[in-house]
Amino acid sequence: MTGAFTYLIATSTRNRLAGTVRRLRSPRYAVGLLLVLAYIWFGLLRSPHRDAPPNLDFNRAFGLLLPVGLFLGVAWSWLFGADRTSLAFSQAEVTMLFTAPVSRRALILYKIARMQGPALTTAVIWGVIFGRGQGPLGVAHAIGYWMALSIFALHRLGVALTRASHGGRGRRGMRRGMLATAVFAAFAVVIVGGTIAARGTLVAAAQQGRLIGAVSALATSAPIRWAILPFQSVLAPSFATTLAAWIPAAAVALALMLAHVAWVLSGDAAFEETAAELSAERAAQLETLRTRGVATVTAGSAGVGRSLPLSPVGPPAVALVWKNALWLMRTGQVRALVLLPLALWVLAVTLRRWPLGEVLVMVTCGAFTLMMLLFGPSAMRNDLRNELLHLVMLKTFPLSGRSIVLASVASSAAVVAAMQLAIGYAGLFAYASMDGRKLHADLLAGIVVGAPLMIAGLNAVNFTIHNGMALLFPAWVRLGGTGAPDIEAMGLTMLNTFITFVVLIGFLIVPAVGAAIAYSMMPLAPGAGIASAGIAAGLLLGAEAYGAIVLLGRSMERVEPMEVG
Amino acid sequence: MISVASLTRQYDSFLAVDGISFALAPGEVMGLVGPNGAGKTTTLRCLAGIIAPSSGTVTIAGHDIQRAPVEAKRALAFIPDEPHLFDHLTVEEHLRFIARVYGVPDVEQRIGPLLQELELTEKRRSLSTELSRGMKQKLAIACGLLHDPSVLILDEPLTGLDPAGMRRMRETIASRARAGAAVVLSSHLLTLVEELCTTLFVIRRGRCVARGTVAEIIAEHPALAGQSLEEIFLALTHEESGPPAA
Repeated sequence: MTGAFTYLIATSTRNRLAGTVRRLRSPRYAVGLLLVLAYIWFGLLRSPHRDAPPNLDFNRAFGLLLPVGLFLGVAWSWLFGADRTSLAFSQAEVTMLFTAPVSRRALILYKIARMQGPALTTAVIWGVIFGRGQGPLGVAHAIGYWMALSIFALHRLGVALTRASHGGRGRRGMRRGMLATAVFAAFAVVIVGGTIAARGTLVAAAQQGRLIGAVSALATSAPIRWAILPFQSVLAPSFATTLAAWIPAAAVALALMLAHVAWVLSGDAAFEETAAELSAERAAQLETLRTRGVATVTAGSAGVGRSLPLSPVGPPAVALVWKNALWLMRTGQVRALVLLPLALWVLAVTLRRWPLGEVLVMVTCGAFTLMMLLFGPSAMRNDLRNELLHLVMLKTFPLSGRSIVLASVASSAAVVAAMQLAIGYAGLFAYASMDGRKLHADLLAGIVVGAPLMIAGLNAVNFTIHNGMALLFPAWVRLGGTGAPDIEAMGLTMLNTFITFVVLIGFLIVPAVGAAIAYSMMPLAPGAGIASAGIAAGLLLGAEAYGAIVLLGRSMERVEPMEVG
Repeated sequence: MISVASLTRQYDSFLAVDGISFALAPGEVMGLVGPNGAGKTTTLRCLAGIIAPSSGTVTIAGHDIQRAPVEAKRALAFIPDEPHLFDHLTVEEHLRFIARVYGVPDVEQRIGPLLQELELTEKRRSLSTELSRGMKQKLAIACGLLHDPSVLILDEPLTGLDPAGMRRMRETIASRARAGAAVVLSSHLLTLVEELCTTLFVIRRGRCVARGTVAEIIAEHPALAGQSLEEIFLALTHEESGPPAA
């Protein structure tokens, strides 16, 4: 049977690669690939910083934070069954392999083999991005990424198999759930309790600019050290600072990986029913993505009972915005969009009197604002990246390509801009409240006035780029879907984020010059200068976005369902 | 109402549709039939403006679908074999959405009778995900009929419908044609084609092999006289049959 599985994996991989190569015959994809390769070569491999020593602080910080993240991911899998998709097979696999004379062990082995493709791809991409200038250590880190991704995927598969074998319901299921809760609660108590106990030291270190060192010391001292040790061991090869340190770390990770393989292969759980159920669910979701929409909405979903009014007369493209707004309501995203800024405002008000409270709020707001610029378009996808899945229907509507692109971009950009603005204002409020750093009313007014248009323009450009990427390179961009991709396949998403960010920087050049000119025209009134700079930048960004939308509209009129898949 | 001239569509070296031409007047129902892979869906997609022809023209209600797509599409409805619906919209919201897209001011007056005609009244507040396959097909049909199109393009419209639904759908198509719509209907159900269509367009390997009423086709191929539509279809589309008629 191994031969048949090898054949299946090899031919599938070959055909997929052949499809990719065929796609490169299209000039658009060929130019796109050249640009990506040029970016990797000049931006990463031949960067002026390529010979710089590895950033040890960066490695150390991530080496500490990621084990905690991994702990949370594993805990989530055990406690809430977030491992469900890891046991899913494709509908074709269920139909053909589950009915074939194949042992469960062979099926699991096949599943493990299939996991390796995305894990290896992601490891290579991460290796290229993070391993620049590190020579053999960069390659060693890439192997470490692969081992960490594989172990995590294997663990999730093991959890899924365990749940399938014990049953998710009934007394046994509950007992197993309680046991997992107790184990992870103990881990959480150790980590959170240890951090709280060391709060004074951490605050003092932060004031002296030695926070990373203090966190490092905390994580390497008992009892936290013992709690995160298993997770650190998985990630240690990815963050080893020398080859000599990497070798023993890799040996431990390899042992953990083999132990996981043995664990998932050892059970003879009757997982087929669960797997078939999950596969049917996944197939329905994929079908939803392919033909209709993104997140699955059911009768019990948020906001299904409520609707929004829509007049039958007026610009037809507004109907697309209305539809996308309903999608936001019904996938529960509106709640997050309102709650996050609200929570940050509550924090900004309540933490004003705490030591370093304003700094904490300001840094959090700044981080969220920046993250939304980088990752907002990946999270908020109720635009062309969703609409393209309905291309057959969309192309029969009496709407111009420009109207479709404009309505789609507006649907998501407006929402993220509003959220970013609310969070940004919370951060500004926190900054204005800081002792000794009271913002002059003139400057405050300038920022408050200038920010809305600038943020709106920035998001218009950012979302236009993401939508444009989906329209021009539908085979390279994940269409539909709000959820994050599987961790094993995160590399491509990350590369896509990098590329779109580089394009965004290109779009920012002219507005930045315009903003600088507008600011310099009012040397005696800094507040008015900031306001006019924000407005000028916003207008220029808006003009750039509109120009790009007009061009993309023409592409929209030419794109055909076969290109989207 | 709909006019097609020398329509050709090529995918790399493969000629999916090869220079077909026809014209339909208001009230005419044309059955587009042919074996699997003959080019029917490609033809329908070209007619609906979903894909562009490699050459040739498609004119809907006097508007070239490539040069004036918005105007042409206002007069058109395309109902595909697989219903494409939005998961997060209810039945009624689908109709409101379509009403805005096509500019139907009296949507309130139309929704009730249309839902009743297609037996969807009880489901008007249900999400499309809660509908059965047949119900989804009915909703897709309702969306297509809401704006009273003057050209109706149907690709296997009875797929998934129960016998009562099929009968009702046949009546709906016939009544729309009587009201003046030009209908292009692609189906493998030859009884449906025989019952509804005023003319036939038989396609094989992207080329027209026969066109006209059944009587006209028999007149062109006297050997087919006295045979059923199924036998005529098989004779015309068989790989070893003679060269396609001009």
